[in-house]
Amino acid sequence: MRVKIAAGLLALAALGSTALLPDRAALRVAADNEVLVALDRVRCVEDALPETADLIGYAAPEGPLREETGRQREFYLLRNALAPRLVVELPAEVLAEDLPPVPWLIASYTGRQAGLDDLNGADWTVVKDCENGMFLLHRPEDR
Amino acid sequence: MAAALTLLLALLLPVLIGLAAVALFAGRQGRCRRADFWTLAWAAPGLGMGFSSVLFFLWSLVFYPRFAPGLYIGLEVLVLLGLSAAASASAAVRLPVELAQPGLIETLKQAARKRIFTALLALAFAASAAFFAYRFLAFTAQNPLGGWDAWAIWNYKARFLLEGDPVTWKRVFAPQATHPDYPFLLSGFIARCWVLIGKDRAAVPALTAALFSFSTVGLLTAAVTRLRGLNLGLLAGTLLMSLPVFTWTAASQYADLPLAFYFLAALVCILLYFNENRRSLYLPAAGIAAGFALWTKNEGTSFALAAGITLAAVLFAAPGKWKPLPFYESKSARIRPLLLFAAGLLPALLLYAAFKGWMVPPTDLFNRREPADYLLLAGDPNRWRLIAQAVWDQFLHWGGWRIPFLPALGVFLLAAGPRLPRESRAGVLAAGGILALTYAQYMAIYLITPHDLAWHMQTSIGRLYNQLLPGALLVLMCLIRKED
Repeated sequence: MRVKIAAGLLALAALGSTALLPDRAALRVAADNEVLVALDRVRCVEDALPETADLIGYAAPEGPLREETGRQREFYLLRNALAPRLVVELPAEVLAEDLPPVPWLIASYTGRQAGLDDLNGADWTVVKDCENGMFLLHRPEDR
Repeated sequence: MAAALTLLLALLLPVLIGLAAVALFAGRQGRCRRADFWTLAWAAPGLGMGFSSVLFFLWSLVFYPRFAPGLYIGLEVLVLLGLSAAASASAAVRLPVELAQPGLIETLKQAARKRIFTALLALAFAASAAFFAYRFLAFTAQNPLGGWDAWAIWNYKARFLLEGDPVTWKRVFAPQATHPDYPFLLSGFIARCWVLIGKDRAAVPALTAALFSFSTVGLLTAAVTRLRGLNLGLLAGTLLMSLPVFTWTAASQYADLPLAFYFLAALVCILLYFNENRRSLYLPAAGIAAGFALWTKNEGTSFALAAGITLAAVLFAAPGKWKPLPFYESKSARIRPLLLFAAGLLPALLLYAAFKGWMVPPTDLFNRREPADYLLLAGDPNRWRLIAQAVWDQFLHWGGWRIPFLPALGVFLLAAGPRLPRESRAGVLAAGGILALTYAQYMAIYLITPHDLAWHMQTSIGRLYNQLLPGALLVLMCLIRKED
């Protein structure tokens, strides 16, 4: 009987906690799902990359990646979208380097104009302007 | 339509392979054969996915994944036929049904006829299952790609096998990839399904998570029913499904769920082995499950090591009343169970060793410092204090219930009155010891982690508890007196 009483009480506690349900709207895909929105944004560069581009840099010149969940999410989604190409995270200073470690770079800005202003005069060729703040840049290694 | 049918076949084949394997493990001799089959049958989807994933990974290494998927399917069918033939041969010695103890379904039928309390618990179980399914679907609808680690790690790795060519898919092991040293069971299974249907459908990881959830809940419920009666079996399943952390782990498509399943499957096999019939194939089965855990996440190494050490301790050094019954007379008789467990573990262990030794860079936990540095870290009292604080916080807050879950379990255990019959002690000692030793290793890793300790614990300690949860519930229920 002791076991039954204890089991019954525990089962009631379990059901009490189970009743914390999301509302019915939760069964629909949220239109503003952050991951899907970010994935849409990064997929823009996918088609513009040639087959030979196997190592690609990613830089978010407007802030350190580590401190910003949104940027991190974008970086990892970009990795996901571009696999089996490898994407590596680079500091914003890569834009000004004479000998960048990668010939292809994806630069991510919060808006298109911010990117155009920052890239103005940079030694990289804009291969694709996604018009959402993402830019695919190229700079041959022997340049 | 064709893709849907191919996906159905891709998911059905592992389930059949798992069933054939379970029939082999539970077959032939012993009075509990039939009941054990119906207990372990719930593990079939999870075990089958493990077999398929390993097979696909080896196939990919040799032939590259997209080479003739039809031939690959043929290989899995051959494995299925081989296992079925072996199971059929081993089941040749048939036993009278009345000698077998009832399994979950038979017990349910009996209970429905005469027990009101059991019927109420069954209602609670059904309600819990319905709420679990609802929350799983809601999370999946809102997050079709799963949680962060699903798209950043597990499904990301699977994309290399789908999108790559014979050379480029192996970039998944390059130092620049995300956690290249992480084992491949979950990613390999998702990649296998994607390659077979020819595209990366988000439904595949979600269905994989659903199958592992089904297997985990079913196996826990059936195993506790088998070992401690239907009431406690239903309670264990209800508790598991009621926990928001379990729903979250499952619906997030994280590898922690398959890992928790393989821990549970290994513990169930060990308990069944010690508990009643000493069926020798349960130990290789436990070894296989521990091997799949090894191939799922690096934490699997802690479990496999803990299992080996604890089994040896129980067989050779258990104190008087905790020795296995019937007692092993000779030293060689005590070594045999260890060898059987090792035989099951060995294939995955070799694969894991080759993977770690030749294919991937070292794990980030052990590649940064000299041995003396680890000693310094381990001797830092501040780190001990931080870990103790985190453990206390988890004790009070982990689980997501309205009341603290772990203290509630403690109160339940005291109220119900722990009572272990003599014949159950060795099995419970082994299963509990394995979990305790695994947990101790987890905490030891925190002690020497080269990462920022607070950040490392904050991002992982809850998931470590999730991994141990089903196994811990199994052991807890085994501490309660068996019903008549």
